[in-house]
Amino acid sequence: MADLLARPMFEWSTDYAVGIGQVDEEHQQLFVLAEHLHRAMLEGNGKATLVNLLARLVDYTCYHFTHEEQLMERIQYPGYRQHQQEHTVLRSRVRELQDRAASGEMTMTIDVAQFLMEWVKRHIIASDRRIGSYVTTAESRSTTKIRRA
Amino acid sequence: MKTTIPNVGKMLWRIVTAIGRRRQGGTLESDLGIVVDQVIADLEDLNRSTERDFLAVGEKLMEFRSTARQIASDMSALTELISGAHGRNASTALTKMLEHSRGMDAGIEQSGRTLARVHDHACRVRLAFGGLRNTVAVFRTLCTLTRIETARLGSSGADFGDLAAEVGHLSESIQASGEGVLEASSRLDQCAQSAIRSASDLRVRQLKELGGLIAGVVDSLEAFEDRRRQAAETSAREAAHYEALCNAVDGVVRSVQFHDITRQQVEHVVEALGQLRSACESSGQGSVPAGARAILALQSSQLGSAAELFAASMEGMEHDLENIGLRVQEMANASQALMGISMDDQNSFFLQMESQFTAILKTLATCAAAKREVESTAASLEQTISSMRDSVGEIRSIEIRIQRIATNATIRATHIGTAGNALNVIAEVMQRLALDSNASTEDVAETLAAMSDAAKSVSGGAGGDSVPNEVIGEMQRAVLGLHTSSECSFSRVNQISALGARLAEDIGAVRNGFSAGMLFAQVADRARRELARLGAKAGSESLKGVEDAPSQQLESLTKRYTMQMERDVHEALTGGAAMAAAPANVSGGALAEGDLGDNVELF
Repeated sequence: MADLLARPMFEWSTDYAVGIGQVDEEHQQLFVLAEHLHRAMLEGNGKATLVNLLARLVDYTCYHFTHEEQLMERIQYPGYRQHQQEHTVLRSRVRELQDRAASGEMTMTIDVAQFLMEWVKRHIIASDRRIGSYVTTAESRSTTKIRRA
Repeated sequence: MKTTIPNVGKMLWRIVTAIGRRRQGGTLESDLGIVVDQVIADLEDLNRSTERDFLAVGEKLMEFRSTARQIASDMSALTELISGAHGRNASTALTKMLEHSRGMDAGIEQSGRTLARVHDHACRVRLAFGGLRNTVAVFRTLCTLTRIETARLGSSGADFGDLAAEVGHLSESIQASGEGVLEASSRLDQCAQSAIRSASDLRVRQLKELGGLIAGVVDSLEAFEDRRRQAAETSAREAAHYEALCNAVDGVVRSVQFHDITRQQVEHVVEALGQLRSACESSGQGSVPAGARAILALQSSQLGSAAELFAASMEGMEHDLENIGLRVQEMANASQALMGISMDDQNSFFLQMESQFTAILKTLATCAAAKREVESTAASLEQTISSMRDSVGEIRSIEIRIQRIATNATIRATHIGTAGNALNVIAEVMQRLALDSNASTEDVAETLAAMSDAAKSVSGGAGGDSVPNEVIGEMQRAVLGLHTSSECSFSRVNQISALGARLAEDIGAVRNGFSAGMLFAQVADRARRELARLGAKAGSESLKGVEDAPSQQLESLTKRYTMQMERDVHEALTGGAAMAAAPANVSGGALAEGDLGDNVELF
């Protein structure tokens, strides 16, 4: 068996899939970012990677949340407002973390790692999955309609 | 395994055929052939399927064991990280930090006291030069009197004309310089007061903010101590858990190995049934081997025994797997508990520590800024004191010149004689005044020297001699080092915890997906039913006296029959031993060769 430390901590698997290709691909990028931080922390280099990681995270929130919001609008997702609100909270938290890092605060890697874990646990697994379920249900409904027609 | 089928089967076959005819179309021979073939196929499938399942479980168990070992070793590494050399270094760093903080506090208190002395000195300067204006006014008056007296003396007082002008000018200079000193002293006092306030603020911050943080650090130190103790206890507990886990895994492995016995039993049944089938075929058309009922009953008994054994092993495996799952979960929980990670992750030990580190770093940054401010104040104090000392030096030289002028005037007034008496008096007063002024000036000069020393001491000791500038940097580095160690532990604990959870989940999945027990029971039960049905058919014919074995003894034997007994009997027979010995081994009953009939020769 391989060394425990060699095993990734943030590893995307189908357990995290929401069933929407682009969304899943972008979620995988978040896992890569989180794993990068985790690795750095294990090696004692967490603080050195922080500024860069947060900059990439800010970029990520920009394009990923925009894509998700566009998708929700397009499919007229009923939980759009609530989901968008979650995005706002996540965006502002990422900005706040970035501001803290920019002000010279370095001892915040655990906070950031914890935040990423929460993001995966609470937002991806819970909220994003609901969009996936909605899309699947909507698709099966339209297929049924087509068949009936 | 050798099997000898006697020729009594023909009769049985006929009977069976007759029974079969009575059962509308199905003959015992065809039934036996089909059923036995089916049972053999079922049993072979069962063996293959359980073999495959057990191999997969065995492989998974080895993975579990290896993962558990990995977790245990990582727990030790983590314990070392928390309570080993790393932990001791952390404790040392925190203790040192506390000492530094106390040193900084003492240094700042010392600076405050020194600055308060500067303030006292400034007051003394103001007091000393407080009479300066009066002195200058007196000098002016004396100059006026000198001019009047000179005018009265006419040509004999001509030499004194310059005296008035010179002293007048010098006294103005004294006033200007003196006021400069007073003004500087006032500025210096304000500066000192401001620095005192800064030092005081810093102390308040130290005492209140850093004090609180130090208390936090002390708590953390104690927490580290606690954790060190906990880590040692947890390690011991985990070692026991690990031992139990390995025992549980070994138990499952034994259960898996036990399956080998049941597999052999099933193989044996398959072989015996195969031989019965072959005997049936080779004995000719319409022939059923003699003792078929006994063979079927014994094989059914074998299957029953195998099913019981298998069920017991499966129960043991289920229990052991459940145990493993629990242990693994406990290990994962213990690793989380060690780090104070609760369900509410926001309040974990790591986050608390991180926020403490951040607060300490912030306070240290504030202290460093305040220290720089005090140092800068002290530097400006020194500059001001230096310019004051220049002014005082100037005043001192003027006073000396006035004294010299006054002395000369006294001599010249004496030369004039009685007419110069008034001027003589004026010159003497002027000289005394210059002397008095000089005494104050010397006092100020001394005070300035003391102030200068105090300012130097402040600039070199905002943190005190015991806490040089680099101490703050050292403290910051120590905090960052502790944080790095903390983030590493955090990542490891989470990794262990995730691995433990994954392992527990895998074990659960293995448990839930384990269908071999049910399958075995179903197949064995079906096979036994079929064998019993065939046996019953054969048995009904034996009632007509075809078979020799007494049915009651046969029933008794089959109930207690095991593979080992079967082997014993077989070995006894193939070795030519008296059959009487076998039943004694088998059941302690009174079965003799004759009693067992031809059936025992099957083995």
